[in-house]
This record gives sequence, structure tokens and C-alpha cells, in this order.
Amino acid sequence: MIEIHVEKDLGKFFLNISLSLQKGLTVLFGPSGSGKTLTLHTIAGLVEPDSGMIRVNGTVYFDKREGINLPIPRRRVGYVFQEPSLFPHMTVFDNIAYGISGLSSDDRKQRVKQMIEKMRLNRLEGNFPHQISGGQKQRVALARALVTSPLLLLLDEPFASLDHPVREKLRLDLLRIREEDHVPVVFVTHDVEEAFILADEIVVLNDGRVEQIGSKEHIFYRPQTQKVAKFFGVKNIFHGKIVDVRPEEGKMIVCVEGKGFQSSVPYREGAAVGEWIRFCIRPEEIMILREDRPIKKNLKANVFTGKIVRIVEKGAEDTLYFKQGQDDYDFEISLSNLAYRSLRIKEGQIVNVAFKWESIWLIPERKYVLGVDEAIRVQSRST
Amino acid sequence: MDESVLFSLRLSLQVAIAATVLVVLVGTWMSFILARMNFRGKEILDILLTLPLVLPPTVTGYYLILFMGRNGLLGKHLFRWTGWSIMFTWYAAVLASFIVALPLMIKTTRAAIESVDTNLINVSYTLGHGELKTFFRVILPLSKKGMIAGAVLSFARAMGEFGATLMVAGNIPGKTNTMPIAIYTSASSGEWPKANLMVIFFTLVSGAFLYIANRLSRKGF
Repeated sequence: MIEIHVEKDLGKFFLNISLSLQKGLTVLFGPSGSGKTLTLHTIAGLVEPDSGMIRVNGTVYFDKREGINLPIPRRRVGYVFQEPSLFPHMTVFDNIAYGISGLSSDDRKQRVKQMIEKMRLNRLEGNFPHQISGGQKQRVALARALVTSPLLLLLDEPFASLDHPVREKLRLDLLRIREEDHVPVVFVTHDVEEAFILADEIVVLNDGRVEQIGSKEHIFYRPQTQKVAKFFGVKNIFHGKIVDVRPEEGKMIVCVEGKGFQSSVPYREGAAVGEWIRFCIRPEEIMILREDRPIKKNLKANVFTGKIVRIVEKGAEDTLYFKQGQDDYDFEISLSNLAYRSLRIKEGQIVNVAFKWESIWLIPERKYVLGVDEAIRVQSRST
Repeated sequence: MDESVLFSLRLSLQVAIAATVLVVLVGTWMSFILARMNFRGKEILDILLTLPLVLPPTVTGYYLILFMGRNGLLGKHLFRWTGWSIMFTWYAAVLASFIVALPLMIKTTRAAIESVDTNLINVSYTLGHGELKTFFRVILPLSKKGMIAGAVLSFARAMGEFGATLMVAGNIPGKTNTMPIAIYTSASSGEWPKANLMVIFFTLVSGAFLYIANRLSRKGF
């Protein structure tokens, strides 16, 4: 269990993070400048927070009130930077052995050998960092951190500078390590795919604050704020005014601002006519209806007729822009290339589109952020 | 070769080696402090240590007299406790060479230490090693080239020290007349063949040292 409740004022940037992480792999996700790296730095001890506390598995790393600030070497965290940061004057073997202490030289050798085996680095142990590839370097960096049996592994966009195939392999290595070693991992990335592949839990940061914490399914399909929806590629986000409420049918009718169309969305407890709400639909959840088939019942509530104004072919999938009225476009639709080919759609074509009831998500826009003091109070009450 | 020339040569080497050892020890330590730590008065310390590079050596020598002379700020106490003064001994020549050569070491070493990737130092900390071990196993090996170049330059500078040495060690034949001072004496008393010999020798040695310093700062060992 990792608890972080810290504040750090850097003048232009203010970090105010309150997190409680369970074991497993946590992805810290956010745009650049959102405070991801700074958060890792405070955990590792590279940056001292202005206030708050950090505790890992019961060990207090930092506590402003108690005046505790554990020195970096005693925190036992493994840290891997975006650049591999291998010691250039040491061989692969010596790099990996660097952090091992208190072992006889035979045991030490044994330990390093095992790690070399595990990280697929055989026959490279005698090489210097400049003699091996980028992916190999990052595997050495991981091995060097893991061999010390850290309490916690902190990875700061470790695969960002690697080619795509190498990156995919390394992600699989990381998943394997997590299963074998049971070491908690905090992984920083701004890559949606990477976050989805790796995460047990995702923490979305924005502007130095926690925007949302949750499982990847939650973050992906139930974003709590508009920002989270945008970061994770929801694309179709609408702001609208409720014009009719029918609780007995479980729905309400929303008139979408600036677009001029109405949509039927799931009823929300306590909603009233005239209220503004925000709802969203992922682009892959919108379907193009085939004229030769009857419209399924669960699609009937939201069927729209309009024109495909633009098609962007992306290889495995394709993006189509659909519009009804005057605006540049209303919906962004993502189709698998297979579906796109079988529909034989051309730009300018008039089509019917629809989306399922369950695909509509009402963004609650509730404030997710706790201040440091508040979080500590909550915590002391629970212990 | 003339007996006195040989003595001067030996004394110069002896002074330069002793001064370089001091320069390397103190200079590395000071460079580390200046490069890696933040404290009040850091820039003032840097200026104080660098001043001998730009001051006329006679001024540096004058300060040394103020501090270390028999009535100097420190020398006074030293003389009271031990009855010994550093003035007009070969130790004074070492001290003068040390103070004058130190900035050369600090300039090159500080730059070398500052150029070590901060991530490497942080990695070493996270892997459980403290300041000292990190210094010897990461910072030192990676700034070695700059440090060796600094040491070679300091040695050459210490060999050639004249002004400050003359002020504090004097020109006592057979005791404190290092080669540059011996050259001055020979020239001023018209002993041209002796002066020529020493000048040629000195030029060659200094040239060789510059060559070594350049090579080392490019290639390392």
C-alpha cells in the first residue's frame, strides 16, 4: 500500500496530490506538464515536498509534521528513467551488480546471472552500454533496479524513446516481471494504449492534481470529467440542455448546444428540465446502419441521418466524420477497416447512424480532488 | 651539467609534485562542493579560489606573507607554538605553487563534475549508495579526464611559478632557488649559457605537458 499526500509549490506549477495505491501496477497518466514525473520524484526523494506525507508499506518516507525525510538510498525504490541512464564506464554485468550490497561475491554473481537470464540479456554481460541497442539498455536498467528487490518500482516513461515493436516486447516483459516478483509498480506514461495494456489501476493527473482514479474500464468508459474523457479519446463530447424528462421511461431529451440536434440519454436521478449536462460517446460505439436491414430496437432511440463529410483511413481502423446540420461535423466515428470496407462508404454519402443506449455516458463533473489536509484527516479518522 | 642547475631542476620537480598532490586533493574536494552543493557564499568561495589566476603573482605572494609570515595572521600562531616559520623554506615554494595552480584544477574539474548526467547520480542514490560511494564509483570515473587534464596543467603551472614563490620562499641558492628563479638569477648576472640551457629545457618540458594535457582531455587514459 502506497500513500502519497503531498504539496509542492514550484512557482509556476503547483502539485497537490492525494493518492492511496494498492499493490499491482498503477499507471500515472496525464499530458506533459501535469506533474507525473514530479510525483515520482517526491516518492523517490529526488524532490522534497513542501508539506504532506508519503508512506510505502508502512515505512514513512516523508512526513512534514514529524520532520521525517528518509534519504534516497534508504527508500529502496527502483527508478528507471526515460533515458536508460546506464553507467557508461561499467559493463552490463557491473551495471546490474551496482546496487547489490551485503552479499559474498559468489552470491552476487549468482544474483546477477539470474537477472541476466530473466531479462533476456544473455551474452551481453561483458558489453558496455554504447555497444547495445536501446531496448537492451532499458532492459539492463530494469534489471539493475529489480536485482536489489526494491519495495517499489518507479518507471518514468521508460519505453517512450523506443521503436514500436521493441516497446511492445518490453511491455510484455514488464507484465511478466510484475506477475513473478509481485513488486508494486508506478508507471508514468502519456500513451493511452500503453496505459490500457499495463494498468491495474489508472491515476489521471492534470495540472498538478488528480483528475480521476480507477480501473482502466472505469477511466475508459466512465470518465468523471471532460478532461479525462478527452485524454482517453472519447472524441464525441456534448454539452446540452435538458428539454424533457421522462423518469418512467428512464430517459431524458437533451438539446445539444451549438449543434441543434436532440438526443435521448439515460435518466439521471434528480435531473430537471432546463438543467445543463454533459454526455459523451466513444467513436467506436457509433454504428453506421445498413439500409437493407431493419433498425434494432435498442438503437431506435438515437438514429440520425446525415452526410459523411470526411474519411481518414488509418490502417487497422478508419475515422469517419458525420454531420447533419451546418457545423463542421457532429460525430467522429471509428470503424474497423473490415467494417469500413464492407460498407463501401464514400465521402459525401448520406447515411443513418445510431448508438446504443449503454454507450452514452453522462459525465458527472464532480470534483475528485481532495486537498492534502482533508485527505490526512480522512485517513486519521479511518485508522 | 652544472651542479646548481641540477639542484634547481630537482627542487622545481619536488615543489611541483608536492604542490600538485595538494592541488588534486583540495581541488577535487572544492570542485565537488562547488559543482554539486548549494549554499550561501558559494560564489564568493569560487571567486576567492579563482583570484590567484588573475592577480599578479606578487600580489598573491603578498597575501601569503600577510597570512603565513612570522607576524602574519596564521604564521604568528604557528611561530609561537612551534618556533618555526614556513617563510624562506621550500615548503613556502610549495604553498605558493599550490595557491597559484589550484584555480586551474578547480576550473577544469568543476566543469567535468557538472557535466556528469544528474540522472546517473540519482540512479546511484536510488540503488542504495550514499554521497561518498556515488562520488568514488560514478562521479570520479566519469570526470576523470577533466581532472587529469587539470592536474597536468596545475603541475606545469606549479613548475613555472615565479612571482609568489620569490615573495615567500626567496632566492636562497641551494635552498629555495627553483628553476624559474635560477633563470632570473643567471640572466641578471649575465650567465647566458646557463640561462639558455635552462630556458630551452623549461620550454620543452612545458610544451610536453601541454601536449599531454590536450591528449588526455580528448581521449582520457
